[in-house]
Amino acid sequence: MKKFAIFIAAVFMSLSLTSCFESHQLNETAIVQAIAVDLAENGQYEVTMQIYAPKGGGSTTAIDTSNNNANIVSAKGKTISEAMIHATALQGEYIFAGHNRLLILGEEFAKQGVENVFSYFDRNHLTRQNIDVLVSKGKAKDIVALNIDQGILAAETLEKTVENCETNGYITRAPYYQFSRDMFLYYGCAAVPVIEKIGKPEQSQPEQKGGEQSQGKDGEESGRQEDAATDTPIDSVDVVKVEKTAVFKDYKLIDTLDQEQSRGVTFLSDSIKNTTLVAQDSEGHYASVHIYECDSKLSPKFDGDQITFVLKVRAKASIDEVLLPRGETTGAEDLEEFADSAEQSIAADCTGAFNRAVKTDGSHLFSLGDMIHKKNPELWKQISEDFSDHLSELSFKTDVEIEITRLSIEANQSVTKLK
Amino acid sequence: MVEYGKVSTAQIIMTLLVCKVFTVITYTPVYTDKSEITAVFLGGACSTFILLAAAVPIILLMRKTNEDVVSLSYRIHPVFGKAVFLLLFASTMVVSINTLVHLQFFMVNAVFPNVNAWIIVVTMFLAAFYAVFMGMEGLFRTGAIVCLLLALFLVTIGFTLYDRIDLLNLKPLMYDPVKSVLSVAWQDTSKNMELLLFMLLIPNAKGKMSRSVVIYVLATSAMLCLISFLVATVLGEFTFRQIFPFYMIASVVDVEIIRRFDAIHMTIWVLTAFLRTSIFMLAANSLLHRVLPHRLAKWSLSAVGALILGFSLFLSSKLQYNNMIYQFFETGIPLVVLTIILPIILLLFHRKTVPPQTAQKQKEGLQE
Repeated sequence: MKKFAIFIAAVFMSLSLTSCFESHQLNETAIVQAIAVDLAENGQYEVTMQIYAPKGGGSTTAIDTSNNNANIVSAKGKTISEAMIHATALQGEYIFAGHNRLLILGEEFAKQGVENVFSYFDRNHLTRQNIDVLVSKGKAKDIVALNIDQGILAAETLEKTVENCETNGYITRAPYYQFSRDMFLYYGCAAVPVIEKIGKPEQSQPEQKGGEQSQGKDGEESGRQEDAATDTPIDSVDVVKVEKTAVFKDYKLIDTLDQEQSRGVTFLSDSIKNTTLVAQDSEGHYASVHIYECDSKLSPKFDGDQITFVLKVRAKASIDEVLLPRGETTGAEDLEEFADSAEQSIAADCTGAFNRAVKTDGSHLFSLGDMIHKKNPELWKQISEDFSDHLSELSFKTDVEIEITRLSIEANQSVTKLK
Repeated sequence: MVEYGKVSTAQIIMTLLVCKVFTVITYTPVYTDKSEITAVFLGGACSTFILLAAAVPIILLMRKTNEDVVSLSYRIHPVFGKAVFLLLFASTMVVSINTLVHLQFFMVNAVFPNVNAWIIVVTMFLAAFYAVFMGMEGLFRTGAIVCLLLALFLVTIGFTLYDRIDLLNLKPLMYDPVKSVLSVAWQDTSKNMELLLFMLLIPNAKGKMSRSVVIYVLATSAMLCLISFLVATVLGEFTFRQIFPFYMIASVVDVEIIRRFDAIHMTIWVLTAFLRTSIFMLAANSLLHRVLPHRLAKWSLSAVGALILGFSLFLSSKLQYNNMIYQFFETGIPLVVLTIILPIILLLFHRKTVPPQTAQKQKEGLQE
C-alpha cells in the first residue's frame, strides 16, 4: 500500500513539477518579437505585434534567411490587455510575449501620456525587464511592420541597430525596467531613444548601354539579362535610424533632442562607450577623434543657494583619420588642437542637452535631485518640494579633458611621400 | 528531535541558512511601512547585532545542556512542558504552512498565472512530505547542497549586476533615521524563526551548537546585507513598488549566456521553499511524535501532513488570513517568546531540569 502511494505521488509530481500544465505546442504559439503601442481613434489603444513566423527555404532548412521571418498582428482595445486579447482572437495561435525584444511607443500616444503602459507591462509576468523601449517618429506600427530583409528577424535587426547606436555613442538605451523606474522616481520623467523610418531611395532606372555588340539571338538575350543584373542596385539596409532622444515629463513626450544633444545625454548619464567626433584645427583641417575610453561624472557644487552642476569628462582617444592638404604634416601641437576641438564639441553637446532637457523642458533627468540629496541633505530638505521650479535656475559647467594616446600605425600617405 | 539521527553542525547551518533565504527573497516591501531604501540596507546590517543579542540565551542554554527544550520544559513542570509543546508545535506548523502559501502566491503571480493554486500547494506538499518521511539526514544533506548552489547564484548575480549598481541610490536618511533603521532591523530580526530549530536540534548535532548559532547569525547577516545592498543600489526607492524586489533584480540581469536569470531565481525559490516546508514539518512531526501515546505516535506524520495541507489549501484562497499570520510573526512576539524568554526560563530553572544522576555526576566531578 505504502509503495503504491509513493508511486502515485511520484507520477503526480513528475507531471506537475515539470510544468506539464497549460502547454502550448511551438507550432501553435505566436512568439512575439516586438510590440508597438499607438493611440487609435476614440482614445483606444492599438497594439501591433511582430510575430516570429519562419518561412522555410526549401526541404533542408526550416528558416529562409533571405526572407523576413515575421508576421504582423494588430488589434485595438480600450485597454492594452483588451487589445492583446483581440489580437489573440484574430489569429489562431497562443500569443507568447516572453521573448519580446522591443517596446515601441507611438509619437502621438507618447504625447498624450504613457502612464497606462506600466500598468499592463509591470503586471504582466512575461515582460522581460531588459527589452528596449523606443519612441517612434510617427506611428509605432509603421516601425514594427517594416519589411527588413536583413537577418532572420526584423525585430532582431532593429534591436541590433539600437545596440550599435549605443555602442557608437549616439544614444543612451532605455531598458524597460529603467524606463519604468525613472518614470516612477522622477515624476514621470525619462529619456528614451527615438526610432525613425528612413524613406528608401527610389531605385534608379538602369541606363541604356549603347554600342554593345550582339552575338546572335541567344547572346543578345543573355547580354540583356546580364546588364539588368549588374544595373539593379543592391537593396539599402538603412531603413531606420536611431539618433535622437525623446524627453518625457509628467509621463508625456514633451521634446525631442537632436543628434548632438543626444550624444550629450550619453556623456551626462555616463553611458558612453565609444564615439567618434569630428575635430578641426586652427587651419580648418578635419580629423576624426575616436574616443575609446571615457569616464564622465556629473556632480553638484553649492554656492549659497546657487547650485551648479559640473560635468567632469576624462577621455582617451585615438586619431582615426586626418584630412590634410598634400605636403602638410601633423605635429604634437596639431594633436593638442584636435583634442581641444573635440573637448569643445563634447562641452557644446552636453551643455545643449542639459539646457534643453533640464532648464527649458524642466525634465528631471540625470538624477539631479538624488545628487543634491546625497551631497547636501539640508538643502534638499528645503527645495525637494518644489525642485521642479529650481530646474531652470540651475547652472551647468563642463570640465572636459581628452588625451590623444593612439595615433594609429601609419601616417598620412602624402606625408610619407614627402619624406 | 530525539527519534532522528545526528547530523553535522555544518549541515545544520547551511540548511537553516537556505531556509532563511526564503524569507529574504520573499521580502515584500510594498505591503510594509514605507521607509527610505537606505534604511532597508542599514536595518539589515543592524539586525546582526540584535540577532546576536537575541541568540545569547540560546547559546548559554546550549553550553549548559545537550537536551532539547521540550524535555527540559517537561522537567520543570508537566503543564509548562505541555504549554511549551503547544507553542513550539503551533509555530513550526504555521511556518511550514506559511511557506507553502507564500510559494503558491509567488508561483501563481510570477510564473504560472493561469494555474490553480492547489496544484502548486499539493505538489510541493507531496515533495516535502516525502522528504520528511525519508528522515532528517537526507534533508540536511540536500540543504547543504542547495546552500552551495545558492552561494554560487548569489555570487553570480552580484557580479553580473555590477554595472547596474548605482551608489547614488544610497542617500542620507531624511525622516526619523534612527527610528526607521531600527524598525527595519527589528522586522528583519523577527523573521528568524530558524533560531527555534537550533533549540530543537540540540540533541541531533554533531559538534558545538553554540558556535553554530553564532556562525549562522553572521552568515545570515552577511547574506542579508548582500541582498539588501543589491536591491537598494539597483532599484533604489523603486523597490517599494515591487512585490518581489529580489526577483526583479534577477530579471534585470542581462548576460550573453543567460538572458533569463529570473528562471534560476525561480529554481532557487522553489528549492528554499521545499527545504523550509520540509524542515518545519519535520520539527512539527518530531514534537507531536513525542507527546502522542505510543500506539498513536506512528500516525504523527500523517496528522501533521493533513493539517499542513488542509490549512495551506484554505489559506491559499484566503490570503488575508495568511497576511494576518505573517504580520503577527513580523511583530516579533513569537521570536521573543520562544527564542529569548523560553531559554531564559530554562536557564533559570536549569538546576531543577538536570536529571538526578547527571546532577550527582556533576557534583562528584566538581568535588574531584
